[in-house]
Amino acid sequence: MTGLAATHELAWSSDVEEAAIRPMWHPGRLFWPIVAVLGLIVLGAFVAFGYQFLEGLWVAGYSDRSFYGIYEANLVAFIGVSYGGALVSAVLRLTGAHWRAPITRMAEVMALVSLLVGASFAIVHLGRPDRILNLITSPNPSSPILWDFTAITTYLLATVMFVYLPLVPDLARVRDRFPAGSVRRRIYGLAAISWADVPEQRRRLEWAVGIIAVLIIPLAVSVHSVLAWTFSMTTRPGWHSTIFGPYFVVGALYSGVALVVLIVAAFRRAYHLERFVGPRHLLLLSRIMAALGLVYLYFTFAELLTGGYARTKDEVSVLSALLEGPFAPAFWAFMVGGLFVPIALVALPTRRRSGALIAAAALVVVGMWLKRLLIVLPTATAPLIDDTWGAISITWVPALITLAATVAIPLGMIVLFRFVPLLAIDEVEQEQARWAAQEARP
Amino acid sequence: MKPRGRLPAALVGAVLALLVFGAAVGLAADPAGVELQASQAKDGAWQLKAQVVDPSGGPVAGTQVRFSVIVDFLGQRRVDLGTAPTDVTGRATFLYRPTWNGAHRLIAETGGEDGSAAVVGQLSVDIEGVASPIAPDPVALPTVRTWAVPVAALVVASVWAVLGFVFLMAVIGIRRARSGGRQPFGSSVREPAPGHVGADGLAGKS
Repeated sequence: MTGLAATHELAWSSDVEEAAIRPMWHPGRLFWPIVAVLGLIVLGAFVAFGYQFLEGLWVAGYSDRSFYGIYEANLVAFIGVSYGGALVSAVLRLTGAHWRAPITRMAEVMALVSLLVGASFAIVHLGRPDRILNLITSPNPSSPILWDFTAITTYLLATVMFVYLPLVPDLARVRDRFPAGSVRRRIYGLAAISWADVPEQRRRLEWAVGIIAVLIIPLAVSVHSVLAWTFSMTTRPGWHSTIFGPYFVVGALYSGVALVVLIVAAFRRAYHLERFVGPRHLLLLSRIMAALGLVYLYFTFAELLTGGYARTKDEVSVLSALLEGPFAPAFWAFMVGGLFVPIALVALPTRRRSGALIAAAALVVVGMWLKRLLIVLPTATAPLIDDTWGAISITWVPALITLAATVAIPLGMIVLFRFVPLLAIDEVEQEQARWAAQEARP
Repeated sequence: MKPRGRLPAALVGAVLALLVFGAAVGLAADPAGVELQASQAKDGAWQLKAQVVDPSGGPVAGTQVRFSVIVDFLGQRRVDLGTAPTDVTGRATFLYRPTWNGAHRLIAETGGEDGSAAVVGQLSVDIEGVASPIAPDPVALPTVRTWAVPVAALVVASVWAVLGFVFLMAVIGIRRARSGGRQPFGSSVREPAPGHVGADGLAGKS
């Protein structure tokens, strides 16, 4: 512990403040080993990407008969979970769900980090990533890719603002912990925009956060809709579907809320936040997740029924591969493990409630990643000219890059929480004040 | 009573006809020159006419003429266009639809199948106004197509503008409110923690 931290920590009376800022001063003995291990995996992914850049996409198992693969599934999955994080925070904020206060910061930061990770797959999956700038220098308005790029960058901007603005009061508290004239005080002072908690400042901040919370919902919907349309605007069997936009949006929400459950549970355990984040938070989030799971189940049924009933030759070919053919084990594993079991775990009372909810969320996250792979692979390998199916082999290159992307989310979050408070101190304290006022009421 | 003397006469006639035809064919199978001409036809097509003549300058009828064009794309090579037979005047006609603008080197060739030297005629023409070989479908929903991109761009620009405006207004408002030294927040304001030192250097209530 540094002398500065020790001195200031004594001055802190608020538990929430202490808990929120603890990772900034006392990240724990395991912080550096964890950062080192996860960082090495991420570094390994950069090496793998360099190898792929030099050799071409064949090293990732791609070929002319399997032109899409694991990277596209990752793109959809990681941007999808980002959407869930932003939506949880925005919707709960707008609906005045007061219980959200201790989890919003984690949900918002998760949204930002997973968006950055997910958007990177837009570059990783390119055969010629050096041409990415052509999107700006030679934009083609007829291309869904241009609009995908536009939607992601707009959503990224809104997400950065959505993370940053509610941070301002908390950054001011961190600023005040450093001695006058120190570099860190100046940096945090700059970030805190001279915040002094006067009413006009609070009014301005709430106005801005309210507008961004409203805007981020259609923006997140647009991102995942445009992402869905890059698939469904082709005439390929399995992709050419009018419900792909909402289907992707619901899938993103479902997996995103599940990841919020996992992140909240993990940080609650790792940083001892049990006093602020209780089993009730996990239960309420899990109920939202289960409700979204039911909607996703309905969409999946509608998608399969309409495709299967029309029985066009190519559509039946893809559906057969999915339901009865080589992709059937993965598909039914998703249906059971990614939909039925998690929904049942949330719906049915169990003794170890929190454990069951965490297990349900983990099943959803893994299951939904598998589902994205099942959206991409059958169609990408389906034959259109002859009857020969393509085959994709998942080599070490995409496997390492996918693993790195997965670990990059917790890595990015724990590194970010070395610089910003883990909990939304200001919001939690306002919530505590509201409860205190209610209790005091005769 | 059978007619007599008819059969020998028919036979003689048939043999003579065969000899004349054979001579004609025999002579026609020996082309000595090909002259190629091109003229513009309807719908962007060009009519190629190859006049095949024998060593005496007479027309060669019934011989196949192969038409081709030299293409200079990723290296020069000859692309076969098709074949047409010569008529009694020794002329073969072929309708050619060019696919690019600019200089065309056209070739008409005959003979050479039995190992003998082929007879070749060449012509260079400059062709302009070639329509694309791919005929696009009629534009569907022309009004929507015209407006969709500008409207989408306008929506994106509006969102960026709103985001920028909200952010700037928040930052400027927070800064001004601080320098303006407004009154503390009302009853719902968070009380500073005991010992908490604010940005203004004042300690909170104890």
